[in-house]
Amino acid sequence: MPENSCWICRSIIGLEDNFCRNCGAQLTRVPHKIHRTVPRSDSFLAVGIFMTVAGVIIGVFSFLMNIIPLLALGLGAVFLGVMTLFLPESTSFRADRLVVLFSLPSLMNTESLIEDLDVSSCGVYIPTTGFGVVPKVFLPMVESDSTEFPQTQLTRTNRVFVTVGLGSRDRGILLDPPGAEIVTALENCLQMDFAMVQADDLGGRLNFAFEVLGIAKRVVVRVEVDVVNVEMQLVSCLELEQRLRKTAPRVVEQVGTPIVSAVAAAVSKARGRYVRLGGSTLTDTKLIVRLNLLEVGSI
Amino acid sequence: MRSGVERVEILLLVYASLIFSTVLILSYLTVSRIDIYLAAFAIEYFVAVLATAPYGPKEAKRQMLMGAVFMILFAVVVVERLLEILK
Repeated sequence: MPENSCWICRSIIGLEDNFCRNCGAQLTRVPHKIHRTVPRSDSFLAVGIFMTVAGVIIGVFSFLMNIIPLLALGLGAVFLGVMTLFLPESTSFRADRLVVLFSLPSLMNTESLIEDLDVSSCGVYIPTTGFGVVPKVFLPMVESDSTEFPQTQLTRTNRVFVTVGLGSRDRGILLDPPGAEIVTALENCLQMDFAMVQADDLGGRLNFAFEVLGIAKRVVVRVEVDVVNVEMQLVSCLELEQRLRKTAPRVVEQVGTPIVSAVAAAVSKARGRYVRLGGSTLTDTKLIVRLNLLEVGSI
Repeated sequence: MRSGVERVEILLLVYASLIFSTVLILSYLTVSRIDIYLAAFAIEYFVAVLATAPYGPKEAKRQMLMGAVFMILFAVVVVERLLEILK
């Protein structure tokens, strides 16, 4: 959102205004601290190098002039600089552990459900619109034309076992994506329905929102014809992502982990198309999500 | 809850304040031996780490490495001082 214009009507707003004088929309001001011109890791690097160099210079000169307190100060600065360079930009240990503790059991239940029902197809994210409305993911029991493109009205139902065609086999399970709350948080952060986001703007918006929420950074969206590749550096939830890949492979492959499913749901909303998970890989902290766009949703 | 990054920042701030206050106090007391400063810095590192713990596995591993370096530094200072006394 431009700093001095309304996020809805784009009219000029005053610095002290809480509501737009033109359309009356509530203005949400984003704290300035999230607009980082220098990434945190780069600022750590700069501070570390500065402290080390300054410490060495002070240390050498004070050693030559035999001023012990200044020499100690120089050595202290070197220690601090080395520590700044050496200690990583890290995730929160407790928060990551809590995410695993709270999320894993329910995701294991989903894993067991998929296994018991012998569902082997990948889930289809059904496009939807509306601020705070999250696309549902449909897992077909058997692949067919009906189950490939389930009706968009299904996003309004709370049923789990649904029939989407005339045939007795056109059935499947309808789930809220594991990352449904993340999608809502992303939209709240952007103050914008993903369905209103322009295709070219999706990467920037996702990057901004994921960084503000402290989930990921450096989010890059690459759109090919019917494939969307999303790359990001995870900042948190890393332990959950790793654990799920070991303990719940079906959820990971067919529905997606919370972050992957949030990305899939956001893309489905933004592009207004059915999205099928093409796969996701996690290397160290880098998460790559591949999504297949199926068909223009009739919404 | 503080995030890991904030925790690292707090550790650096705590350690920096300890270092600068040590330099101020010891220079006020006219201490003119660098090994005393170094020993104090080594001890303060462990104090700062313990005060800002816990950390994740990755940070803990790196801190252990840095702790080992400080421990060696401290041991060298102590041994040197002991040899000085025994002479």
